[in-house]
Amino acid sequence: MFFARLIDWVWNSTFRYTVALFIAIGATIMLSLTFAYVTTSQELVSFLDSLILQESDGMVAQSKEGLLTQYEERLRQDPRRYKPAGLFTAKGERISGSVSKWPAGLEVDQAPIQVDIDRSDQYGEMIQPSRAVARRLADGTIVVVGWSTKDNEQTASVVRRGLIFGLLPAFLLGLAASLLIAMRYQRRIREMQLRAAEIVAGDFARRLPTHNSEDPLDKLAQIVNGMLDEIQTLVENLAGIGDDIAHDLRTPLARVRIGLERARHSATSREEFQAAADRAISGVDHAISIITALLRIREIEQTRRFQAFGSVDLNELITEVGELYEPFAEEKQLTMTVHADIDATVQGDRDLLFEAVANLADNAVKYTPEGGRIEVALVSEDSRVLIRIKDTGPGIAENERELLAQRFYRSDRSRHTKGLGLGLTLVSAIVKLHGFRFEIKSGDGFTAEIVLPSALSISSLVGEMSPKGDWGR
Amino acid sequence: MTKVVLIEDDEDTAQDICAELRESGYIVDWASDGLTGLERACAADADVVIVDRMLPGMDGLAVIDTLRREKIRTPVLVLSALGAVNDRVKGLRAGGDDYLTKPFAVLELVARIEALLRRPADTSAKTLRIGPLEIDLIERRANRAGREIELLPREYKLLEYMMRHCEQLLTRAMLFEEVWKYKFVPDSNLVDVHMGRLRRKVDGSGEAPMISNIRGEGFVLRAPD
Repeated sequence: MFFARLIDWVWNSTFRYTVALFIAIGATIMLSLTFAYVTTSQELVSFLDSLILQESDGMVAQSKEGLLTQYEERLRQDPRRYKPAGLFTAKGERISGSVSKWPAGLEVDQAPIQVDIDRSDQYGEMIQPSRAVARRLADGTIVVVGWSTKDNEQTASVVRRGLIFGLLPAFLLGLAASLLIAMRYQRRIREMQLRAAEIVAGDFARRLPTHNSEDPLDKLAQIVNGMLDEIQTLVENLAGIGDDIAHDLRTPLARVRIGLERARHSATSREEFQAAADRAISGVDHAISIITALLRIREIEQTRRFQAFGSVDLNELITEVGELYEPFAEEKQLTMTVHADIDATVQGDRDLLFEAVANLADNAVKYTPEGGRIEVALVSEDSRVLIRIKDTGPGIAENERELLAQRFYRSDRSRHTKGLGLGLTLVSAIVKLHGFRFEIKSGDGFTAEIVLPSALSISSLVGEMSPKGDWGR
Repeated sequence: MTKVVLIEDDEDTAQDICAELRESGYIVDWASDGLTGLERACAADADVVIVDRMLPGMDGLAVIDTLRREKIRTPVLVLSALGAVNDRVKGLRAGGDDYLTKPFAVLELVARIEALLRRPADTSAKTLRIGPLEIDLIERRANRAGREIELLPREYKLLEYMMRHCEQLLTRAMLFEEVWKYKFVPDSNLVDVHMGRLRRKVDGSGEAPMISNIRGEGFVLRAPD
């Protein structure tokens, strides 16, 4: 059981990747060292070969001139015992020197080869691996000249030992490091799995653990947390909307029911019945209009219809809204001014944008008390272009502004005013669809602003504007 | 008598519509599915067709499409529970002449049917006249019994539309759609305000009123008695 789990753990991908990486690096180092070793030893061998060839050439030349003393000297003098040499008869019988018998495989007047030479001198006998060459001299005898490769082998063994004792600890160290890293990652992933399981189980307040680092896993966790924030807000909104819908629908329907019941009991004439029916119809209409508005907001938020997008002249649009609402304002004894002096063309759905601005104008007219002022304007301010609808109405408290744009929320002051409370949600949805920003200010009255992304030139927005995203400032 | 073919699968809705239309003086032929409805609509004596979008057997839009491909030009009013702007556009594109979202006031339906029946107006005329009221379609001017009426462009459009549909109930939604060309209806009484202005200009003091508000449902322009 434990081993199964251990194997399972060891075999988890993080660990596997680390080990694979390590093996790859190790193999590369090994390969390059082997290459170095092989080339170095070849270098050495050819160096020795050139030495013995040079020497044997010298001896052959001397033998022609009858100066045999030189090679006899060579045969005798080898105090450090690394240059075996010997003189043989044409038949291969030893005459003199430190090579005690003809080395197996050595042939006369051929290129130097590797042989094991039986060495015998005043210090004793030994088998000496050497590079050796045999040359026929002028008098018919054969000289064997060798050079021990013991030094080469020593170098090789040093390199081999270096490889083993150098790489092994590095390998072990690497293994330990990868185990450690794998363990850390494994622990964090396990932690994330547990948290994720809790979230899936319905605990939306939970978040994945983060360490505020640039680590990719951490980045991923941060992104997931951001998504969770958004989802949580959505879920909470939805739940709230459910309650609000129920409440906002129940109120008019309850009123209708009471009215009809009372009429049924106490109405005495046709006129009274008709009046009750009229009231009931307007109550039901109110309920229907709430549902219609909701569906409309949903349509705008979800279908994201960009096919209706085209160039919209905001100047013209503002003027038109002014024309539509000016008589309405006048009837309520309000002064309405419309300023649209700058040219601004955006890509958008004209009908929706008109609806958004009209809604804001509608609100302004509805909530501003008699004698007030309303200003509808398209202005350029601090290098931004914005549509501003400002009134001298009661305004709203600061903490209510955010809530106001959320579905169904109505500021307390307007609870008694007939209206749906969905207007601002609708405006917010339309503005969001266009990638603009919706701002609400309150101070001297109520101010709503639709801010256009004018950091870019307005007319070039077409290609660069992302449908939903924010823009840098 | 004017004959209406109603294609609607919900029996309750169909009965209500039938009753109201009969009361308004129409002959109603009701079909509860697309195929039967299509047959009835193809009959030569149908004056207007009301078709629900969601039908068993054959979809409402397919019914309209088939009618139009058979070169039958009978005006069609589409009824639908789908109120999204896209649905509306689809309905009109398929060959429908008007689109009404459920639930609707039956009066609104009747008003729209009357408007559909009246549709082919004389387009070559240069002036329109109803009683003492006259408008010049080219100069875009209006006068009542010689008294020049100063109108803003939108007021002129409103008056022209009303004169083309005189003696017909025009609902707020119809006016808003046709005169202002907007697809949403503001919940405040905007249309009433604009109508009030026009009314004060058309019906001067001492003159018999020509524009009247009917049962809070809409407006009618008619020649004074």
